[in-house]
Amino acid sequence: MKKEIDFGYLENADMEQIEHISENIPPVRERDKKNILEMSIRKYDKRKNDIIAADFSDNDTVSGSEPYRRRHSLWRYIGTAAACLAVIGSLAGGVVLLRRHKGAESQITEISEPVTEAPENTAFEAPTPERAQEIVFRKGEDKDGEILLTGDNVLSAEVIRPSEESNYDYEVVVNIDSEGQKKMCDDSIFPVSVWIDGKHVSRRNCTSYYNGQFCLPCGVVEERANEIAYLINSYRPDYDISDAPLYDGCIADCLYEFEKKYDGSLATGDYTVYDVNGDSIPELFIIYTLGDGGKHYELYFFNGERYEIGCASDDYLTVNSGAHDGLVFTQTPWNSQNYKVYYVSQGRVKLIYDMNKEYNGDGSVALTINGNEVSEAKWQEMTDSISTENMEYPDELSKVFAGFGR
Amino acid sequence: MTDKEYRKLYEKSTRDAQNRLFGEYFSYVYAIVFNKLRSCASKEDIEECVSDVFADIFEHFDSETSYCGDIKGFIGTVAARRAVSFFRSISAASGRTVPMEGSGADCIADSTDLEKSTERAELRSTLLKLIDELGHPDTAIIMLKYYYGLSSSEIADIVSMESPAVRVRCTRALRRLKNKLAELDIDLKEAES
Repeated sequence: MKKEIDFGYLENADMEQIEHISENIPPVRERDKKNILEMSIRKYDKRKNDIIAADFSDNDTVSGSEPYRRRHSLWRYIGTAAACLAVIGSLAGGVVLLRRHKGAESQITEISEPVTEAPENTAFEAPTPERAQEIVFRKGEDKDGEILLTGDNVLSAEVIRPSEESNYDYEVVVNIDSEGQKKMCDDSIFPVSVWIDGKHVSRRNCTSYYNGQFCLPCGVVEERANEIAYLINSYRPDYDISDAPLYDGCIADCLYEFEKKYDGSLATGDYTVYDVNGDSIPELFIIYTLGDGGKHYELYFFNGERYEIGCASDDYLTVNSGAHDGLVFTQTPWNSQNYKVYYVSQGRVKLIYDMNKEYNGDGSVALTINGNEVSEAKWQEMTDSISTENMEYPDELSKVFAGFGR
Repeated sequence: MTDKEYRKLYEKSTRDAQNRLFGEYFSYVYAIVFNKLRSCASKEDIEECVSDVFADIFEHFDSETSYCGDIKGFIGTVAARRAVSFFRSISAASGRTVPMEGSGADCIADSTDLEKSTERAELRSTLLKLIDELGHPDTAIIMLKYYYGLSSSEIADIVSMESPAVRVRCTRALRRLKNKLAELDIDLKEAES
């Protein structure tokens, strides 16, 4: 008797057959695959942040970190003064030109005509937007409504479209920090309106919040959504360099120089100010990423005039919690094969111990400190003294100073 | 990929390690999740579940250091468990479940026919073997169309061909498959739908 089958027979395959099916057959388009990867990483990051936030909230007494102050922007005043000078200069130049070319008004008119002519479809062809100076999330739609969150609570923003069908709005998904998330738990605060530099953005107000994210409906024009996401990502707290001690201004300068150095390639940047050696002059820890996903750590110390780099590492920089003993440690993750111990003192940073654990091919282990082989007991004694139980990770106390691309 | 390889990559760059793991096991995880959820979930739900699986795996390898060896088995287990959990939540939301204490629950008979299910498993293996013998890209086209239910344009994007070419190849591949099955005295029906 002839047997009959259909493709429904492929359903409920066992694991071995699934392995067979999946081999060399990508089941979705490349862009969908990319979206799923981004979704996974977003969820992973969110969970990781939640764990850190939960750990941190258990002990929210912080010492040795610099209080956040919004800069009354010296650069803003300089910028304003420069703009005024430019306007005055151009007015004065104009008057001089008019006087020189009396009777030649028709030529001036001809030159200026193309400038005043409105191009077609200008609605979303505005010049590249500047950085946002102020972002606020208000309860309700009123301009004077209660402020719920500020730009300091925003971690990142990105544009999505729930469906490729043309009648769906583009949305800007805004990720907020744990402090912001606590405030948004109350449903009665909705709808929430978002204001950037005094202007109400997004086509409709945000009416819901899910899993640490807002969705701002932005209409069907992608450029508009991109512009809003750009502005939100461009916001960053400034550093207050007024009325600060000498080194405080130098910290701001150092951060400014650092950001300038990596202009364009810096994905995230956070900093912590922590007095490692108890001399009342704090050291500066910078944690940054360059878009490759890996974190980089740098320690800066005050040399009397400015902050200078003391050490750099791709591993966590840690200090002995509350000891202020001048010691800074790095430790490779997972297998603890390499430790470095730095000593911060009298305006310099010195590597005092470089400890390595190497696994040989025959299964034996070579333990070295500063290139000299040591016994297991000695190694144990040294590593015990830098037990992670006593460690403090300065980046847990960090503040954002750069947020492009987040 | 082994866990050691993953951790080595992870030490250099977390994102690189995650990208590599995702690239290597995406199709595998997707196939497992799809197999469990195809009857009840939308494409978006399936993608959501797949992203949950990878978030679980990334998170696991952040903290767990004791596991050694090939991680494929572990990934398959995480994917299957997550898919079952997703299936339950979807079923609960859509009211498909029957409470144990509800009337009539005790009358539900076990309708499993061992003889039939064994025969079905054998035919499934035969069908997969013959599809595999079609070769690239016909194997992929048949699987994407009749297992994953994708349209010709979606398949065209995946196999880097034009949609009309996909349709032509699909028709020819199907004919070849039918012939191969006919040799084994098996009739493939309703395949054109």
